[in-house]
Amino acid sequence: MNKDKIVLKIEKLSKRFPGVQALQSIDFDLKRGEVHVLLGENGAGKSTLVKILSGSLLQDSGTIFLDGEKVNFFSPEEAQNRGIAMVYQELDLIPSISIAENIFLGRYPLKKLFGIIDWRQVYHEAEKIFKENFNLEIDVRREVKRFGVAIQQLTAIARALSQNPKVLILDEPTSALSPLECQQLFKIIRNLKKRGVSIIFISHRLKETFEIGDRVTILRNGEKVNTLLVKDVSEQDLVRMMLGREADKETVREKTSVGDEILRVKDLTKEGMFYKCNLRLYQGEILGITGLMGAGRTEFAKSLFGVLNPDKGEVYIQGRRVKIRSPKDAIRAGIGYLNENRMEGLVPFLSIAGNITLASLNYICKMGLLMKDKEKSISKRFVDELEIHPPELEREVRYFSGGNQQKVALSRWLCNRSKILILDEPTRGIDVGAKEEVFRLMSRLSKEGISIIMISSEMPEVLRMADRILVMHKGRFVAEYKRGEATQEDLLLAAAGGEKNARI
Amino acid sequence: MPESKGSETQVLTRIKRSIGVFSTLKFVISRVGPLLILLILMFFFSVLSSSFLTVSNLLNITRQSAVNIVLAVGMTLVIIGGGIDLSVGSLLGLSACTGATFVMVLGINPLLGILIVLAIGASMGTVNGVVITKGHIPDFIATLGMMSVARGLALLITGGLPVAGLPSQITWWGIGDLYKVPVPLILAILVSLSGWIILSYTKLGRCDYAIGGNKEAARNAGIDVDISKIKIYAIMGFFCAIGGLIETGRIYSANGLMGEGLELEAIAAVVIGGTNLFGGEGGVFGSIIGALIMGVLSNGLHLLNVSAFWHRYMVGLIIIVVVVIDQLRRRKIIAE
Repeated sequence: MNKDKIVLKIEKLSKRFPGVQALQSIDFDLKRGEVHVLLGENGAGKSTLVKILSGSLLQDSGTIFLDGEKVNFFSPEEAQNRGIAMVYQELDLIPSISIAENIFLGRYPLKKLFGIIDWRQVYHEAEKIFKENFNLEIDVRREVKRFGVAIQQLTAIARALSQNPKVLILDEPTSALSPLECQQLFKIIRNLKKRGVSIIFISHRLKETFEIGDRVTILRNGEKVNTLLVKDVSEQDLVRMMLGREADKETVREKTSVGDEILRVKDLTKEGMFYKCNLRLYQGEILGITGLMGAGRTEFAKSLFGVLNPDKGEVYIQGRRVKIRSPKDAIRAGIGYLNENRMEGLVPFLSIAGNITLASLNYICKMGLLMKDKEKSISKRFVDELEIHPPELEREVRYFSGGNQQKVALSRWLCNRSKILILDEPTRGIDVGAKEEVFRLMSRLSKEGISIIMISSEMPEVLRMADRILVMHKGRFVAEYKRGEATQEDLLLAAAGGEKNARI
Repeated sequence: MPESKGSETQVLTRIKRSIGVFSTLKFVISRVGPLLILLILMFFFSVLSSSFLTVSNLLNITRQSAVNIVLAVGMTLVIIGGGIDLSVGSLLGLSACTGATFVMVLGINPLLGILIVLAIGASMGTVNGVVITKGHIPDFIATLGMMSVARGLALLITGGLPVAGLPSQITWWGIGDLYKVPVPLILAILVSLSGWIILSYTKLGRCDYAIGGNKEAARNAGIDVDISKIKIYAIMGFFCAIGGLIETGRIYSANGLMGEGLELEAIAAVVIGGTNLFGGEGGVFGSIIGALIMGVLSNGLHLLNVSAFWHRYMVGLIIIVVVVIDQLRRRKIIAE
């Protein structure tokens, strides 16, 4: 088996969309059994590239060679038949049917007689895939929605593997996974490598490049910057190549004086989600809440914001008890909530001006009439201040990149002058540059006296930004650290409930 | 409307800049597509029939289309908010029958009768909104129920017989003229204007777009989704009543079956007009054009002595073609 054999080769691949050159004469190759990481900011062309490889898009010019043979894929089916399988970032699973059915969807093994579906084989094969690749024994007859994100991610990968691919494309497979789950995934990827599967791995997290990658290709604005051996580069090199300039200096959070207590939560409980949660938040403080996926952090946040209604517990704002039964109540109490999933918070068809002012309609309305001038001037202020790009107030928010959408979502809560911001995974799915901007903004806000609850699975980010960190495990706060007291290991250990070898 | 015009051209220049001239052309065609269809139809009929392009016939078309325009405007508000109202035809019938019965049987003042018509429409619309939001019932089902309930009530009230001989204060709304302009046309224009103002210049309109675009996000931004929806359905009901008034005047009477099938015409007009059937985007202008397309079609085919059966066939065809074109455009935008 020749390890250096080139499985996939791309020459001078270009793709143009109206107004943008998405890909400009890209060369790329993939060796047998290698993990080739694709890096680049949002909009750099990573997705376009893999969409062409997986048959969802057709290139304008350029050639693709698979095993030395020139190919063109006019549909995903063709790419699949030729051994290229893709796992999308937004898992395209059907939640209400079983894992096994999802894996073989559309390609069910049939019985010879009558051509009916051979269910025994469906389940058997699905179990086999999970056992052989992931070393996991799970009930493949259960519905997908009953499992957590990690298993869902594995199901999507299992579906790709069931096609016996030569090339597996993983688009940000780790974005929804906790650190431990990522480790598990990497183990699986290494296994696949050994079996000769070549992997194209897209990620926003630079660290993962070093952990799993053999080679790395950096794209910027549709052009290839370079392809390098991972062992020859440093993190700074990568950032520089992605941004096209020196990285912004990491936001260092200045020591801020913390003011009076602004929020106190006492024994907040929602059965099956979280139990007896207590916390205090002070003016100008950034409180980090971390934990594994499914620990109950988001549910806790949603209860504070009134999206969910807790069973028991009390909430005090500036010492006064408040009853929060809906987001409206929470907003009136001065709380803003940045959704874990950006698009759950934004209205795609509405302009950015409309989205920014959506929680402040009373400010920009007089007697129920919308004052367009005021809307414009207010939203313009935030577009300028947060450098939302492109600065076009009337453009619908769905046309913006992830980082800019996040800024729009944040602006909404600055616009209505929230005193308490709950930011749920504020950096998920946005690129390095935008991340730093979000951090800078958080620092600035806390200095201005706004209190922030930062919920994040990215433990290094929590360690960097938070004045205090709470760790949640199975719906309970199990540890609290002051700034500088904890290491990432401490957090991981606490998040896993004290067991070092927690599994997916 | 200098402001909207300004933003409209701004939008156009921006789009031009960002996606190129060719796409701008396509964008314009897709935006004015319904208008184009209307103009083509009008051209076609004026060539084939000498009596089509006359002032009296055009006024006639507006008279015939007025009810559809009024209902289509209301339906636009409802559909943009992510809802649908199947009960509009029945509400039109119920409000008209109740008013007419009060006037003719109980002998109350006709002007009071008109108020009753409007009140019945608005309150039944409110009932729709309350059942949907507080009962957590899908819009489709709740208004399907109301469609039948209101129809039944209208038939019960009138005993299945037409209520005729209405005083001119009532019929004026359907057949009268004001300075030589047909009153139904004036009503249609007023309703259209208020629909446009609600959508573009009020808090309610903004909430409507937000709810239809992303209900969870609207709720998370502190919008009272229930209240907004109830208001929208109340307005829809009110517009149904106005439609009922016009229709009563046009046929000189009210009967339990009036307005049947108008819900589908209204939905068709909205869809032809380019409003997203799943909510969140669209506007009043397109729906008016949609209603006019159907009005012109019906009038023109009538002038050409084509069977009314063909009218239905053509409307169906246009709906399908327009929606297919719209879908292709959307898919293209998403792909880009």
